[in-house]
Amino acid sequence: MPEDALRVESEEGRLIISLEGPLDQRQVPALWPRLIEALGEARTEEVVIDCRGISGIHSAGLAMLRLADLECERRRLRCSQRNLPPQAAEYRRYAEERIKERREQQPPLEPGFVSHIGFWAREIIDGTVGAITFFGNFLLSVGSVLRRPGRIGVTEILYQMQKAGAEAMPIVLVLSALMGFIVGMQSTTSVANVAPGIFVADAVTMGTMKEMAPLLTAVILVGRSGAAFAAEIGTMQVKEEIAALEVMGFDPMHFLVLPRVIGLALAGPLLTMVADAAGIFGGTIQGYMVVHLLPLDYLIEVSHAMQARFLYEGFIKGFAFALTIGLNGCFHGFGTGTAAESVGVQTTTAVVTGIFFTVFLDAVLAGIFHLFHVG
Amino acid sequence: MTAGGANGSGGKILEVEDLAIGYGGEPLMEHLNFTVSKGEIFTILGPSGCGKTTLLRTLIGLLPPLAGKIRIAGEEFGPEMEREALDRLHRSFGVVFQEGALVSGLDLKANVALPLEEFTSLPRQIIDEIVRLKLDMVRLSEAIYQAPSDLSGGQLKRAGLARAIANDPLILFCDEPTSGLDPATATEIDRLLLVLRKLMGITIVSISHELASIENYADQCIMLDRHAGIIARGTLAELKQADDDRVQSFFRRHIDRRQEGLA
Repeated sequence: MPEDALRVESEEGRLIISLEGPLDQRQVPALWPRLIEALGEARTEEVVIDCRGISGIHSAGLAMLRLADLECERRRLRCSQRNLPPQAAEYRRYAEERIKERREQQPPLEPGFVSHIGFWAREIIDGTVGAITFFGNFLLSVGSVLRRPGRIGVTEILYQMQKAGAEAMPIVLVLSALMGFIVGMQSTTSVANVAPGIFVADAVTMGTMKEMAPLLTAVILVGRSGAAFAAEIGTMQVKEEIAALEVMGFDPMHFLVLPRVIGLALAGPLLTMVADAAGIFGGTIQGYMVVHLLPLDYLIEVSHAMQARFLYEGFIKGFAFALTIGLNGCFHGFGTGTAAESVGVQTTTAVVTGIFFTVFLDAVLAGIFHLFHVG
Repeated sequence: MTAGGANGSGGKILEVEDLAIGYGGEPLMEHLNFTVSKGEIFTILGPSGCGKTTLLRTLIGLLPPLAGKIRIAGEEFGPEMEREALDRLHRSFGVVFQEGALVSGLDLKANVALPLEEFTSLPRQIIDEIVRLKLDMVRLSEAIYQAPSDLSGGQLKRAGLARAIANDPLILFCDEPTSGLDPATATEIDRLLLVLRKLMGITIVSISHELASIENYADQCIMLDRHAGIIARGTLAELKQADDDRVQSFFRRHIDRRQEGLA
């Protein structure tokens, strides 16, 4: 900015601030602090901002002149502007009219700290009430289906089972086998000093069937199906498809939630069993490669270690986890607002809360199984 | 008065020369030639599906031209430009998209402030004052802290307009600024476009098939046809007098619809 873009002089007891050049976005950032400084050093009661030398004015210049007025008001200085180019003067008059209109309205409140606490509290209350309402509606819907089983869409449930179950098999098989291998490796290290190597098979069987298989399957279901449910239903919400279904007389709970949740709840235990088998297979490979156990010996030891209650526990856990994940995913889908970004937010939340609920439920079920010695 | 910068030849701010537009190398229209003068409100009209939006997307650089030249303020504009020059040129124009295209994670204030924060070194106070001024202009000051998802269709368009003019653009490109709006809101936007031209000297290139709006503000128009390209040009009155059957049929359809209360 040239030095003479802002000149300050005194004239008949008034401070004259003369501006030169274009008042644009390039000039204003340098001009504004000098203007404030000049106003701060004013020893007169009246300030005149002379715009004779300006060659053009942008919104930034107009905003600067307006803020200069307000600054003078704050410093109890009388301020006037002269020689504003006609078009700029008209722009300024137009802006003043709009500002006057705005001032006649109730000013919007900028959300502060207390408001944020309020929003946060309201979100928690709304979320809790929403979850209870959603679960209540789900139970009502289940009740209505139990009364009239013909209403349930078997094809849709089978489709969801295929998507959530059959299509998840490859990843469940690979990860479970790897997990069985890893559990075997850890057990080899622990068992080596206290028992014969064959007991690795017992550790793998128990660890896989009681914990690893149901939990790993649940985590895969959260990432695949829970996220997909939230995103699918969320997108339908944004595109007002759910509203359209409602006004056509469809019950979205019956139409969208039940098939997904039932399909997933049926697929969950089946996938858990697949994970059991794959985990034991991974352990067998580890036993052969690291402990040099023959696969047949290993599997005979597995059959000795295996108890019916491991299977029941895994089955119950698989069902409970899948049911929770399905409901949680659908609930977050319905919680999507009208903005596109809320689909992403709700999908992420569905995954995070899905993992949390799974682990929490696992702890609760472990306690229950221990208490009642299921099986 | 507003954004400075070089003008094109003879006060022409936008020059389109032998332009071919289309998708994936397949030309939709070829040999398009027209110019827009500084401070003019220029309207591209034509029936739905005739290529208006494709032309606009090419003019603003979202689609590469298949052939020909686009010059904005005398500077040739195209994908082969240096990144810096392209960015500078992009900042010299504003675009109003059909649905407002606001960033959904930001409130209205942050949306309008976005180009000012990114492309200028203006102090915070000045940016806030400009944001208030622009929102006052589109009469949305009361919604300053609201999220885009809380706004109606008309408010979204006006908010998109406030963001597009935040940086005092040389040219404002509008994609159907009044489509889908009630007559009162549409007239309000028409009036605002006229105010922007008068007070800020902004050149406006708008695509539309809303005859009522075009009558309100257009200085110069071109009419597009999917197969023949530009089939008429001039003021709206001149277009209405054109001999071409396709032009006449466009206006007749609108007049019929208006008489039937459909438009």
